[in-house]
Amino acid sequence: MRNLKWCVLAALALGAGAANAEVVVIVNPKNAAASLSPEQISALYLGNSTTFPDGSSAALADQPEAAGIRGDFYQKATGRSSAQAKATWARLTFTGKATPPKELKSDAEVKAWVASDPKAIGYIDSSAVDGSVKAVAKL
Amino acid sequence: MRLRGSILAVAVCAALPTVSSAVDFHYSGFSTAGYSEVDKDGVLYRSSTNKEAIDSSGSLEYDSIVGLQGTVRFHDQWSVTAQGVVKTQPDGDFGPSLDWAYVKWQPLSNLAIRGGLTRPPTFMFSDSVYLGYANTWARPPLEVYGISPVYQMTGVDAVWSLNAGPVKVTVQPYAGVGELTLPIAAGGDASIDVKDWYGLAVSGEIGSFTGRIGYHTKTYDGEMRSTQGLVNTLRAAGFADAAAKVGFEGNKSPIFNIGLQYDNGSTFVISEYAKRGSERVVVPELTGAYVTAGHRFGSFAPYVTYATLTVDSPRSTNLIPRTSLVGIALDTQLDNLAAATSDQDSYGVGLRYELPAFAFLKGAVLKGQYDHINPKDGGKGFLSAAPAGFSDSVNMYTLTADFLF
Repeated sequence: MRNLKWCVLAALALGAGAANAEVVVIVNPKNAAASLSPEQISALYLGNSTTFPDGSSAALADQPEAAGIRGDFYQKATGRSSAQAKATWARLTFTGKATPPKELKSDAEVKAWVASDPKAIGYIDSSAVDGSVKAVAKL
Repeated sequence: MRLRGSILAVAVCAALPTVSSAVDFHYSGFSTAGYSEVDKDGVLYRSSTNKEAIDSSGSLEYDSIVGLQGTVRFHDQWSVTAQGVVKTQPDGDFGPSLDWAYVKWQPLSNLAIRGGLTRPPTFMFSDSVYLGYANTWARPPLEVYGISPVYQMTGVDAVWSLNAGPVKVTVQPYAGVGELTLPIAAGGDASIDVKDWYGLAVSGEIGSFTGRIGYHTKTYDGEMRSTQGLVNTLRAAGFADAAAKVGFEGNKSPIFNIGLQYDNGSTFVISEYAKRGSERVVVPELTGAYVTAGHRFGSFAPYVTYATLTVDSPRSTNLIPRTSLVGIALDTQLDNLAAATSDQDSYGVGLRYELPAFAFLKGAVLKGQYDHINPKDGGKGFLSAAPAGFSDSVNMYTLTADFLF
């Protein structure tokens, strides 16, 4: 019974955390962009654009399917649910028009990958941002 | 083609564990498990390229498919992609075939040129008709998607996108050859070549709106076994002019298409209009159109569809004077051929439900769809078969489960 209570509290805390957390879009420090608009981020993550504003090509990172941040990110950046975005990427993938974002396992993995690749873009919780990456948008 | 498909599937499966750990190899797949049935005995619903049909005893195969795609990127600009599917083939058997196999060259971020086996963009969703997960309906409306029986091209295409102010424009020209494969009633299938196949699709996207125009022309090269007999009989009976207007051989059949889409993330409308030209009795000129509208409520998306098909060719040919017994017999045969398709309209209601991802499945969707089909003019509409004297409407029920993996 006590365990159950803890579980409920933990779930509530997680839920509240997820609702309050800010999603930060990050790029490699070498990226020329100082900031990206929601429209630019949406174009990249719905497969409408493959490049940053300066014309250099972008490599996209995604968070795991089960992570709450993924749904938050797509809803805030694109106005679509993550399932709708997935349908869009499935169409692009199986008709040979684009390659879907690389799915990584956590904020830490996304941050490490973005820090190591000048073309990379990803999104992580604001609490995970540090100097190894450049924040270009807060959603 | 089928053998190549099997070899590919085996090769891909054998290579998966080893290659996936190497540099740049991606594979992913999709599948649909479907069940559908119609409520009238003797009625068959199917596209002309399928032997398997939806009938009153139900079909588990018609909408079911498994697809697997692998891409190897061996250079920044170059990649090779192959997609194999397992589905009902034109001969009615459930088996593997190769659906896409191409080399892609991407010299610029907004320009890609592909050579090989592809699905040209005849209609708005021609290249993704098998992708149930991405589509709204259980299957695309036959009134439009059924009028192009050739959907795989061996050739070259280019996808070029540019921004014209706020409008994102995509231009896709293509050229190549293909094959028309039709089932044979007695068993198996038969193919003829399709040559001089050129087309262009241009789409523009602005905000929630997408508009599209497509056109292609192609010519059938060869006579189907099913029509060869009639053509020979007409020639032998001295009706050479009529013989030249009946079969597939030399028939130029262009298709024009306009598509409009609105999707603001919650409310969506999809509409297409298509017109097929033809010079021969066996391939009637057709006009098809549909409009689908729906709204997403969380994971649920109910939708409604209205679709209509019009036969533009005369349904009676008058190619042969009915002045002799032979003339009457042959003219009757031609009229039957010309009357094989009649106008129809249909109404559909469906519900699409997105399941949360689980286990190895990256996505799952369930759909239930009800269609009410009304053949007109005393014909069987676009139905493949109906009992003699059929003048009723048909109800069709479909359940599908679509997966990505």
